[in-house]
Amino acid sequence: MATQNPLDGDVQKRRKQAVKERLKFGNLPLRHRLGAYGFVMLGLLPVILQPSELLNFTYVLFLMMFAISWDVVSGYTGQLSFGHAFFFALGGYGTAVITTQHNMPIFVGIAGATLLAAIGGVLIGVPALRLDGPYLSLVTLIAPLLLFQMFVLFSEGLPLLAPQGLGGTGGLTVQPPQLVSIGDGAFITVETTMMESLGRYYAAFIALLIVFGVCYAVTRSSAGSVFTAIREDEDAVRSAGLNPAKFKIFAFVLAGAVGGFAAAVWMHVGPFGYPNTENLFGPGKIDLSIEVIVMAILGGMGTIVGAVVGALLFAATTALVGWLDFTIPVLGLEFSALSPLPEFLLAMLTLVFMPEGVVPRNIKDGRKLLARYRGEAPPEPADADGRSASESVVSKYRDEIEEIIGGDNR
Amino acid sequence: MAGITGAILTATFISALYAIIAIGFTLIFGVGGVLNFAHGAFITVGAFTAMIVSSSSGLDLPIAVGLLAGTLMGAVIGAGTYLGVIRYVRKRPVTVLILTFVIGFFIMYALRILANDIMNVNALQIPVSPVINEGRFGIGASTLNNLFIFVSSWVLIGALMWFVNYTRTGRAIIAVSQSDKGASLVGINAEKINVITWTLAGAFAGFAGVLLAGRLGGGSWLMAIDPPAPLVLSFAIVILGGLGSIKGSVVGAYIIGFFETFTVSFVPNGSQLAGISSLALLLVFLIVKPEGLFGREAAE
Repeated sequence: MATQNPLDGDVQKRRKQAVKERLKFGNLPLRHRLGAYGFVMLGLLPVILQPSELLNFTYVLFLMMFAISWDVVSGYTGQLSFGHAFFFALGGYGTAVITTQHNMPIFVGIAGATLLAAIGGVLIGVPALRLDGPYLSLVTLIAPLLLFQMFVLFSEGLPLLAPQGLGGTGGLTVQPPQLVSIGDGAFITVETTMMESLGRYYAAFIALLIVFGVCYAVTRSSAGSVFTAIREDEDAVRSAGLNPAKFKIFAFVLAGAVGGFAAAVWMHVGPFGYPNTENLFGPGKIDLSIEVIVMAILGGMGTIVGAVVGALLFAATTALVGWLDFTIPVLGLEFSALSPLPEFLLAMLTLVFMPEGVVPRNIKDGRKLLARYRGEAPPEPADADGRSASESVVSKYRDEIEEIIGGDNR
Repeated sequence: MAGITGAILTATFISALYAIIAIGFTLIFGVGGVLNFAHGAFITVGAFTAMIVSSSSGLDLPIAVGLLAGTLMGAVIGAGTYLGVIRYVRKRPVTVLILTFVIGFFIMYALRILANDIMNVNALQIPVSPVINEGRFGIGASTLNNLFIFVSSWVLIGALMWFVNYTRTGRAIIAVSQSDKGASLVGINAEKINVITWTLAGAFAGFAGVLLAGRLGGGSWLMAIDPPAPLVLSFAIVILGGLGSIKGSVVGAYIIGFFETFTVSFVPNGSQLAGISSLALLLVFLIVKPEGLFGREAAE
């Protein structure tokens, strides 16, 4: 092959051949194979879980999607968002209003909500063009709070858009039509609880595959390279004749659309699909935004896969804390009552001691192990003088903050 | 509130409180370049300490003691946050940002558990009485309390200004905020200055928390982000005034206080806009003039 010049012979056939070569499962790098196994495991999970456990785990799938949504924009372009619940709320409320107050079918609701959240992405993305790091984080922090106030302000009714109002602090009380449910009015009516939880789980799983697929594809494409380049050095991107503004807005729109889509599907899959401020913002109004960040950081920023793993870790910690019901001697309260303190503590420890996250760390260690196993010299890290995602976000921020407060010019 | 005089008075009092709320935040940003998202939690700590010290379910001491205890506890938490965590990651701004975010919520949840599960007080409505709760000289109690807030606010701001301009330590704080390298060249120990700054900021936050909870008739574990949302307020004020400028923060506090009060008083259905008006003003400012009014000058 290598001796032929590229235009010799049957180019079509050779191209097909090359694609086949690439797609052979055995030829994939180990980490990709492990990832594929992981997804298969996720798909087979209902085999070993009880229906009630399955419902709890369905929520974890949504957490994964939320974390992916954050990672696309913040992990890749380094534009930290502290209010990602803004997109989730837009998606959740959007679909609920479309389906219950305008009586549209479910899929119109989901599509409309995704579009709405994408528009929200533009709203956040446009200030991102003018504002540097910490200022932008502020705008993102305020956005969900403003939205929350909007829900309170228009709790009675918003002409044309939401004739029955947005429910104020309590949220909307009419449940959106369900995709799979025992009750009437669902898209697919089933007979047993088991079937119901199975249906819900797989609906969420399909949504996860869509979200993961889209984000993985985008971030591994040339657009993804530009995102990373923006994180590293915006001027360099400009000098290459690319417009960073376009890509920043695109990143925010993609993140918004993905987050909104996930929240919209969540509303129709349940198990408690009432869009209210409690579950879309979190009981403290910005908890969900924080949890999403924590998950992405745990798994590793700027990897997409890390977001999935991080959500799993976060959920596992939560489950573990809930399961430990011994009594703490001094305070006289049960350990499980301490939730979410242990989860936050874990996040803090990860941030301090392993800022690159679990997935990149394991890939690095795995490479060393593999090399030893094959008897090769330990691999030079591919990015020997490169920096991990979190490191470069950090240095970018440092430059911006120093610019703002007029620190030493290095 | 009828008439323009009433509105101006209300605005003046509330702005004085806002100034105390924001000043700790400004200090930390000015010196370390750290946007401290845990600031709201420090404020909450002050309110909860006052509740523990002075409410009937706690030690039942006078509220003045509670105010002192809240201030001290705020200082302890501020110093503890810096010494326990921030010190080790000071060189990594993003990590610090996210860490302060998580620490803030950690503290808030811890307070919630403390109130709900250990003290059996509803964490959403903890009793904190105003510092002055009886009228004298023919003036009502709430007006007197507002006056106390106003006076103490200016006394504290004056003291801080004096401290940073006329004492060696204070001038060292300004030096570090202007240039880390320059400060270390003339022999200033930046580590020590950072501890002092965080302690001061925590003390201001604790003090503000007690006053705010007293004025609202009680605190809650979510008071950092419930209207008037001191955490967001601090951000808004600091951005308006210019990051790291003490004078700017005071001016920003008054702008926000007046803007909010006048919106509520003179715009039809204004009371519904209470939470939104300052945020909207902040957004406009961010887009139009992100460097603020007094961008980057040291305190004077």
